[in-house]
Parts: sequence; C-alpha cells; structure tokens
Amino acid sequence: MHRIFILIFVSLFSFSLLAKQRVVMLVSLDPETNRPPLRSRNWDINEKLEKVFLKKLKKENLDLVILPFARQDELRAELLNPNNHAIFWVGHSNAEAGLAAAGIYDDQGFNMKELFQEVHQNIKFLGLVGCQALPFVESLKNSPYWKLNSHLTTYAREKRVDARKGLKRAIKAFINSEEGKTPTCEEREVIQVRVSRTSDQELSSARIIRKGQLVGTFEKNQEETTIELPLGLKKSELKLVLESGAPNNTKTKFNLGKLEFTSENESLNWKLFADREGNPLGFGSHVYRFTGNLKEELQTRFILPKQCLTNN
Amino acid sequence: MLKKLLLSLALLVSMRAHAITGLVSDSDGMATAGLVMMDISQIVVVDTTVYRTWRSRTVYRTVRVFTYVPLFLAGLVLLDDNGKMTFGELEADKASEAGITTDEVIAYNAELEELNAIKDMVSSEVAEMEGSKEVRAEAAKGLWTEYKDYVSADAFSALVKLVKKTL
Repeated sequence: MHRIFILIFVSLFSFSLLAKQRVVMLVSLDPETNRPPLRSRNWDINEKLEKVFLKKLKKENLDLVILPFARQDELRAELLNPNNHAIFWVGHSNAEAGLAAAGIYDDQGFNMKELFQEVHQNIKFLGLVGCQALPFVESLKNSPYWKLNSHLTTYAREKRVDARKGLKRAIKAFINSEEGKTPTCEEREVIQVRVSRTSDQELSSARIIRKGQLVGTFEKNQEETTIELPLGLKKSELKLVLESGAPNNTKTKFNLGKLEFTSENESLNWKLFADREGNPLGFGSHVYRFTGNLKEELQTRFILPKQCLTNN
Repeated sequence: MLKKLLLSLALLVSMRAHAITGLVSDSDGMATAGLVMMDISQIVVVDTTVYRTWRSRTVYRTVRVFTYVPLFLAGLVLLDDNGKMTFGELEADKASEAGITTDEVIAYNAELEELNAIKDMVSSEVAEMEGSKEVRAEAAKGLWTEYKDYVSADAFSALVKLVKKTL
C-alpha cells in the first residue's frame, strides 16, 4: 500500500517537473483593417502572427497558447492565471500625448489599459507589442500597482512597431530574460463591497475603476462581483467609474447595466451620475458618486491580492 | 491677401490643434471645438469685395464674415481612432498658467470623472451626426450648454480655461 502511495507521489512530482510552462499570446487585431496594401483578402495578420509565435518558440519546450480576437474577459483571465509563465499581447496602442490618454486597444477599439494593473506573480514575462507602449509599461513599473511584480520582465517599444517585427523582438527578449526574485505576498486589509448589476438586455464586459485604479471587473453577462477598497480613503476618493473602454465613435453595441452596492458596512452608498430623468450621463462609462458617510468604524477583511491567488 | 492670411491662420490653428489632439478621435476633436466655442468670442474677419455689374453703375459691396469657427476647425481634420481624449488631474503650475483659480482647481479635480463622462457623451453624440464640421461643432456647443449644469460652475470654468490654454 505504502509503495503505491510513494509511486503516485513520485510520478506526480516528476510530472510537475516535466510540465511545460504555459506561454500565451493574445492577439486583438481586425484582419480587415490590418492588411497591408496590395495583399489578397486571404492575407490574415492573425495567421501571420501565429506562424511567427510557433516558429520562434517551438524549440523552447513550452505549452504555447494563442488567443485571437482577445478582449477584456480573455485578457483578464490570462493575466491572473497562475499557470501562466509569460504573456504576449499584440494590438494597437498609443502613448499619452497632450489630452490624449494612453491606450492598449482590442480589435474593436476598446481600451484595455487598466487590466494590466493586475498581473499574477507567477507570470515572469509580459510583452506588449503595440505602438509606443513603453511609456505605459514604465508608468506601471513606477506605480504601486506592480509592487508585487518587481520581478516581471517586460518588453515594449517607444516607437511605432510593425506587428510581426515587434513580436519577433518580444520573443527574443523573452528567451533572453532572466527570472528575478518574486516579492513576498501578504494579506491586506480591505473593505469589501458587493456590486450587482441589472439590465433587461445582454450585459457587456466592464471594469470598476477608482481614481484610475482597477478595483473590480465584470465579465460579459456577469451580474455580480466583489470589489475591494483600501482603508483610509476620503469621500472624494471613493467615486467609482464603471468603464467599458469603448471609443466614443464605436459602432459596437454595449450595455453596462445599472449598479447596486451592498456591503456589511451599511454606511457606504453610491449614486449614479445621471440627468434629471435618471438616465446615466456618460458614454462608455458611468460615474457613481459616493454618497455614504465614513464616520462609522468600518468592517474590514484581510485578503490575499489577486496577483497571489493560486486557484483561478 | 486675405486668403493667404486665412490660410496661414488656419495652418497655425491646425498645428496647435494637432499638438493637443494628437491621436484623439474626430468626435473628441469636435467635442473640444464645441467647448472652446462656448467661451471664445467670435473673432470676425471681414472679406470685402467691391464690384460693379456691366448693366449698372451701382457699386456692390459684399461682406463675408468669417468667425473663429472655420479657422479652428481647419485643424481638426487629422485624427485617427486610436486615441481617446481624457482630461487628467490638474496641477497647480499648469492651473496658474491657464489662469485657473484655486477654487476652480479644487472643483475641477473633484469632478474630473463627471467632466470626462460629459465629454464622452458630447463626443459620442457628435460622432453620430451628419453634416459639416462647422455644424457638428455647433451641435457640440449646444450639448455642452445643455450638460454643463450637471457639474459645478467652477469645474466647468476650469475646463474651458484649460482647453483654451492647451490650444
């Protein structure tokens, strides 16, 4: 009996040693609008990138995964997947310039940038293949968002990049990257708030942002999520934005739904920024103003950050 | 001569608008145009042509009035879709350069999310409109007038001053 257990243990141990590292390439490019001139309609950027990815990494003994037309849900899932070793994102992007905010876009032009604030600690490499993505990556490195990712090796360029050339360079940077020491992950004290949304139509993916910081996400048709807010915030810092990332000229239909907040702290309340008829003011994002009070002592919880959770 | 003057002004505005708009979308540019139009007094350029018909000795004088609008709009033709204009937090030095008062800075920073929400709304509504850029910029102006009451007067005033300064 003991021998059987030992055998099972040894085989599981060897299997874990032999398990290939999962490397994911998320591509979010519309082939119709990303075709060079004078090419036939069969020319597909996604196929070209897939070919480059598989060819350049086939000798590395990795578990290669390719996700074309990746959007918020896929990106969020892969950035927080503890089984991932490296992530490549290929899509349009731009740096902050004047009044234009930085952006990392999916194939429908939806801005995904806040999702990159939370990257699982097991991910050792992140390649952002897009134009002028370097300032955005640098800003994340210098922000508290990546405090738990100081060991993360990144690739991004300051200039405009060609998708295939950029991907080749990112792969080279990944192959030559060295693993740094992973920072310790500790529980943190937060205020939890349950957020539910209702609508009679299909609900779109969205995220909840507080002063530029990602505090929660909704997947497509997901009706409930829990957000975590840090302690010690002022009333003005508790305003929440339900954000789709949609461009203002989008033809894509989306529906954010209307939020309701419940918490073990009954003094916490938010109200939709709306016109006199109660219709939300905004396009692509809705603002929820904090209307509660912070005088009472708040109930808190100690939780591990998502970047450290081992079950997805 | 007048055409040259207009062209050079248009180019000048074009370059300045390019600097602020960068990669922002066309509709964002229109939304800003509408915002600026709410405050900028009409800058009038008069183009006078004197002519006489072969039948009569009467001298006809036509006067065409150009407001700031077509000049301003000349700069907003560029834009691609891969950028969205977003108003960011206002810092003290930038605020004083733009003549924004302390109260206005406080109100602006406190209502930033609402200002961006309204801007996105104006921009999306303008994006769906048909018509010339002048017509759409006028519509944007109307929408800003309609929505500005949902934010404080100080916050809105700061926004207008900031956009003017950035231009």
